[in-house]
Amino acid sequence: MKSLINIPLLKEQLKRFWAISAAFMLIYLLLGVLTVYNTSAHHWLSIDFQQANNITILLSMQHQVTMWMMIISPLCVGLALFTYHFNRSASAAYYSFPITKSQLFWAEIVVALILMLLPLLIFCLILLAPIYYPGPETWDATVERPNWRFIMFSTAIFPQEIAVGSVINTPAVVAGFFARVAIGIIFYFSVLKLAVSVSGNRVVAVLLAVVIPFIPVGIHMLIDMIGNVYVLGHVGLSSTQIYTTFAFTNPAFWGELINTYVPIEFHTPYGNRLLHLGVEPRLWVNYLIYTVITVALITLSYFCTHKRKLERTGDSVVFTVINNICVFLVSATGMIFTGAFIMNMFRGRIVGMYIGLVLGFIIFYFVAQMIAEKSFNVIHKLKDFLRYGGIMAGMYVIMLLIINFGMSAYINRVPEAPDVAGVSLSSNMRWIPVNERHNMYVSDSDSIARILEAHQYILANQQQLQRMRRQAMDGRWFGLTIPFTYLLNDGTTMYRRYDLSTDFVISSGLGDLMKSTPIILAEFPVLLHPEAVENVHIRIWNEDMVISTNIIDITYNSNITSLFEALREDYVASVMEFWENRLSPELDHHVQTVMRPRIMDIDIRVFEQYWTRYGWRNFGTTGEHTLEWLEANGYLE
Amino acid sequence: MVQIENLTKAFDGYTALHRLNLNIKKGSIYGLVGVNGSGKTTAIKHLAGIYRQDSGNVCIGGMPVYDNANLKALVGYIPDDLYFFPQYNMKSLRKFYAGMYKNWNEKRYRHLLEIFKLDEKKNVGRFSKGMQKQAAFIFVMSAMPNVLLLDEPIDGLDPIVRKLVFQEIIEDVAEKQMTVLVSSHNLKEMDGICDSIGIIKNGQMIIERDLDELKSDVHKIQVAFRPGLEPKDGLGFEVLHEEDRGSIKLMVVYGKEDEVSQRIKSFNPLIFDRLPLTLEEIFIYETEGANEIPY
Repeated sequence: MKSLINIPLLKEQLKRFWAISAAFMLIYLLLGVLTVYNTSAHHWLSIDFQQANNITILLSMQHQVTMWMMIISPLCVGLALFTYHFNRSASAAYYSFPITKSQLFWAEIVVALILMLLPLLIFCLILLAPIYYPGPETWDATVERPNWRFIMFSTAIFPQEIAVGSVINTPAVVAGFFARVAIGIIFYFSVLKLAVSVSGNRVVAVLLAVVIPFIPVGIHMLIDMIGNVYVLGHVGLSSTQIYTTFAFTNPAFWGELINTYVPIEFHTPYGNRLLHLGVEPRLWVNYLIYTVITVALITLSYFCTHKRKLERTGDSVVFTVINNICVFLVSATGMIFTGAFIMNMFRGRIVGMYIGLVLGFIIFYFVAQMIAEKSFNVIHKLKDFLRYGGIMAGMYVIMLLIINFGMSAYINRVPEAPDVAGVSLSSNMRWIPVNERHNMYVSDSDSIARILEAHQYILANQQQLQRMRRQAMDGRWFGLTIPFTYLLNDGTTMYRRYDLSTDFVISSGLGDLMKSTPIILAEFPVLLHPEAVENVHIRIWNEDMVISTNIIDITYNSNITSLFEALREDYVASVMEFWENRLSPELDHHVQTVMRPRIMDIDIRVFEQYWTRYGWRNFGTTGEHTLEWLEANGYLE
Repeated sequence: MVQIENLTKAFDGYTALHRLNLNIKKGSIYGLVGVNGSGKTTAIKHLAGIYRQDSGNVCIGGMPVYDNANLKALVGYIPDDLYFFPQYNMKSLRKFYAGMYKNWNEKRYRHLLEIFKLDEKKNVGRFSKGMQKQAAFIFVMSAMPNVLLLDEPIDGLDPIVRKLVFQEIIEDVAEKQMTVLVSSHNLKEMDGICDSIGIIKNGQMIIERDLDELKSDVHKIQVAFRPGLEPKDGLGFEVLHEEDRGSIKLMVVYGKEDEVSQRIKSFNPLIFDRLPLTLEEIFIYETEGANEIPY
């Protein structure tokens, strides 16, 4: 039996392309050096703080170069290794060698892995060096206890915060970094491999590799748009939403997408969102998802490579069926985006969407055919256009029929008051672990009745809402997306979301509801439970946004109840102030969204039984009651 | 030894090969000839294990060729459009070939390198087309193949090199019973070296014969019959080509030499001469005559 990998070919390919790997090594080394020693950016931070911050950025995958390397290294290696797939004489030469297609396939995979991962591995080993040279313990040895200057990143590789001087590059952390980058690189390589396996043209292969990761995003957006437009209260797909989806859907990491479908514990962390909510993500689920997808893509490309016919080298897509699917998908995706775009131009009118859908389908169908045929002359594809258009229209009609006859009851359903155990208007609900959400529901009958009334008002005045949207004076929609999450007595939940104008929020009574104390406190329920508090960290910022030198650390004591009264008052006041400004018709809504200087952040550590072990809040007010309490209790001079 | 049976291959609806049959005896040199686009290269690429057939069988020594690494190790293939790893010189290519082919013969490589006088350290990509063909020949022959497939091998080679190439091939055929398939447009060259010939047209084999046999069975004659004594129902053998030159007819006919002579003489012609016939002429007349082959 022949071995799976042809060693002479493997050696030869390594010999041919080692320079690419060396270039990667150079980039990693420069990245490492610049990361550690680049301390000039923020003069107001101490050097050790800056260095620790830089290395944390690197290890927590926040460094842009790392992200780019995950895409560029597979692309460079792939295009170098797979060039012969796009050249007939080269393909013929490779296929005439005394090797099987399988041996050729696996030799390529192994060579690519070595070229991509070896420099990363060496870089990671270099990163471990600081373990033996950890540097100073703290930045200020005269201070009695470690002077906590926090570096905050919501990643699973670190606990919530890291103090300056602590060893960051532990083997576990660096191994985690290696695993994450390696998984990203291999994942994107598998995407490229699949693209190359189905394409006979270099440009089209790269295009496909770029497009493939967005296909699930596109499907997700399609579902989202259908849901928004037809099911969840006629909210259009705004350009902002498109931007957000794509901005947070890194081609290598479907963070936003995965986060939509998995519980919060398994979210891909980016930004500080999870940290603020006190959630420690479990990255192994992400690792698993990407590994499974990678294996699936490699398996698929293996079969495609076997089925691929050499004589189709040079064709855009070498499989007729996949070619047709690609044309259909490009047409459908283009149709959806043009629909959303023109609907936005028409200020949310449904007719705009239909015009966009038709135009988008026509334009993108012929563009896709031009790419597939590598020619501008695609008039002979008119027959297929009618066929595809018919299929698309048929699918759309079926969807509309299902929605109109099957979903109308769903769309217009508002639960009866006696069936409701609790309700939340919080947009944070999505980020709260399922088993901890119950703390965020408002359960008093008055609030429930008022929320139900507002919900019914929204459904009864849909036409007015659409009109208001169209009549927005400057053509933009200053709306608020208000989610309704009902906890029903039978334990199930019901979720609806509406995009409402400010005026509509006021007229529906939602404005007053947002300013009501029970609803405000439901956002931060730990404030109602001082007895559960383990300790509280309070950080005070001055108006120049400079952090206070000390974090006030208050462990549970008998006085904490009075502290929580002060915190409640300040918190309710700050949220009320926010809503007053937000709903004020006189204010320019562009300006008001600018954050005021923060005066105070608090972290409240509570025992496990409440919705989150860490609470972090930025008080947008002066926090006057809290400051008074701190002074009175000797925490402030 | 080398056998193609009912091979059919279509490209995007165009049938390049249609139920093609081809047989090459072990230790023989087979010339595959055909007009441009007749399917020669496609047939050879099947034999080299590059193309997968739509239907039919492509075997060497009774084993299917496609994706058969063991078999491909014994097949040497020089395509018309050559490919070498970019920036490689003969030296680095030698290392690669020596690793890839188990039968690699370093002595032969050195011998051929000396004969063809190629600079081992020069980038092969910078060689002329003829030199690249020589380089390919050196590598393929040094891999000691049992079957050699040459697609238009003498294009771009000067007469001296051409002679050297064929000399080496003939030596291998004689010494180790190597089987060779050569496709070429240069039929004069083929005439001197091939044992058998296959003429391919529109993806079908129209003639496959030993060259000597073919030549002894096809005759070019000029004949003039006495007025009123022309054969009215034809000569009784297959005429590949016929043209009138005044009262003299020029004909290319099939048949055994004696039978043809006797038959013509039975009409008591005024003139009857046998003219020399080249392979090139046979090819031209055969391919002209096969215009009507349908598929």
